[in-house]
Amino acid sequence: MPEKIIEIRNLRKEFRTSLNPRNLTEFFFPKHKTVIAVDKLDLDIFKGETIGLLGPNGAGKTTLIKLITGILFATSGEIKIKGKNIEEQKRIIGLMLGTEMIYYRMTGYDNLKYFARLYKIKDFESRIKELSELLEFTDYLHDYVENYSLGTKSKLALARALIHDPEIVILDEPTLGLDINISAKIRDYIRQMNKTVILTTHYEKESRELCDRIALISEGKIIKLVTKENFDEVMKKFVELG
Amino acid sequence: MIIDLNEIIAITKKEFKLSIRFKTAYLLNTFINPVLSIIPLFIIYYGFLHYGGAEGFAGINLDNYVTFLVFGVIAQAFFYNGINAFAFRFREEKYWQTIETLFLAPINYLSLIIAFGINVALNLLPLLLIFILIASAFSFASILNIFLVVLIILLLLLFCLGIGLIYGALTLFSENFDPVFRYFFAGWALLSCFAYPIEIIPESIRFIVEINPVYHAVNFARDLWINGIFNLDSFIYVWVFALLMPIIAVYVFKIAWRRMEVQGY
Repeated sequence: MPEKIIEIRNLRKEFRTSLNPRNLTEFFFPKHKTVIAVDKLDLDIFKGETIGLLGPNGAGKTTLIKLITGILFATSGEIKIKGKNIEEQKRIIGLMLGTEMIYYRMTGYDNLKYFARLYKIKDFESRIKELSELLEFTDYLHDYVENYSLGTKSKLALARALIHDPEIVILDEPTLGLDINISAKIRDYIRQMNKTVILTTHYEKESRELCDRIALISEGKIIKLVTKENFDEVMKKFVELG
Repeated sequence: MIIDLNEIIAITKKEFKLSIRFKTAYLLNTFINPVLSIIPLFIIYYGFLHYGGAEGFAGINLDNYVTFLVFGVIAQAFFYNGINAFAFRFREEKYWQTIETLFLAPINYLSLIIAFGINVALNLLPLLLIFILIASAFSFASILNIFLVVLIILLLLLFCLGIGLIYGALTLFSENFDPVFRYFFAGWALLSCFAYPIEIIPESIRFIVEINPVYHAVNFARDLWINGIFNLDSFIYVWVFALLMPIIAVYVFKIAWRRMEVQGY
């Protein structure tokens, strides 16, 4: 039995949002509603596996990722990473949220150097070189990110998530909006990483190619958790959910 | 968690690079604005003392009013830059969608305060040097006094950065707080006597000025430079607040983040 690297128990996340005011009273005293983004969710993630989180928009995938990484705090329930609280394990997590979390007003090199130093990487020059060569954006390394194409931004965002060689890599829509060639290159790299990977995607092909298990999420709950072999079953359910 | 030099260097460099991305705006904001702010004050004091026939008041006279104003404007620049450093950057990072990196990275938030402090100090260094030269032209100060004045200004900055982190955190987690804080800081600036002596403040509220660490920092610098008096009480008072406030701010930041989370984007 492989080692459990992440244990999620009875996880719940509620957001309290203000409603649009319909009259003057509500303008000053707005009504609120509670949205349950993650609801009583249990999940074990094993070392070395790639698990896909699949679900329609608003299903709670990104919220779950933000809870696992400690960006958001759970309303109730708990998450243990290698048996410890998230706060103690931040160093072993790498997160890519699409093309977010990179500074467009700095060069790609400065972005990577900044994050490398935050994570106390000693030989950051060779790590930056290694990642930029592997992901094929060395030529753009010293350009401002604001001038990058979407594909190069995605590569940089992935390199940023991997700069400290984390044990757990969490990728939220890593190939969203990218052309076929760049998507294929990023998928190739993800496949070769040999790490524990949590992946959210809307692309069936991507899930099929990369994931060992797939969790189908809807309304904050895992409604189906299957292995690669039963993938078609999940896709059928996914289509039903719309 | 121990403060790490790598973190401080990384954040300082990142902040500096982001600051100088648009160089003209950077120069205008950091240098020209404070210089402009001294001009109306200078004109008013100059008018009173040169043309109005006033001999002086509350220890301000023809010989020392320029130095008096110079230290007020320096302190005011450090006060506002320190207070606004985090709110300004956090709001930008919120909309750049880079703020998550702050929560994700395993950093000590005291490093954040020190790094932002170094960056603000670097930004305001030309202003500080030029204004100290101006003050020196009007009244002589020893090397030790210059050092002590710079030290008290840096302590003032550290204190203001602590307040700034609380302000930044609360505006990051809910922008509703922003105007409330801005009005509060405007009142605080009025009660810090940057441009006038404490005697102008009505006696009934003067006690607020007397417990205000910002006023003590300004007063210490003026007393030392103009009158050659080392005000030990003010010196210790500013030290205590400068050391305590960042620690309190980090604590408040963490609580605010846990309770409120980032809203509005």
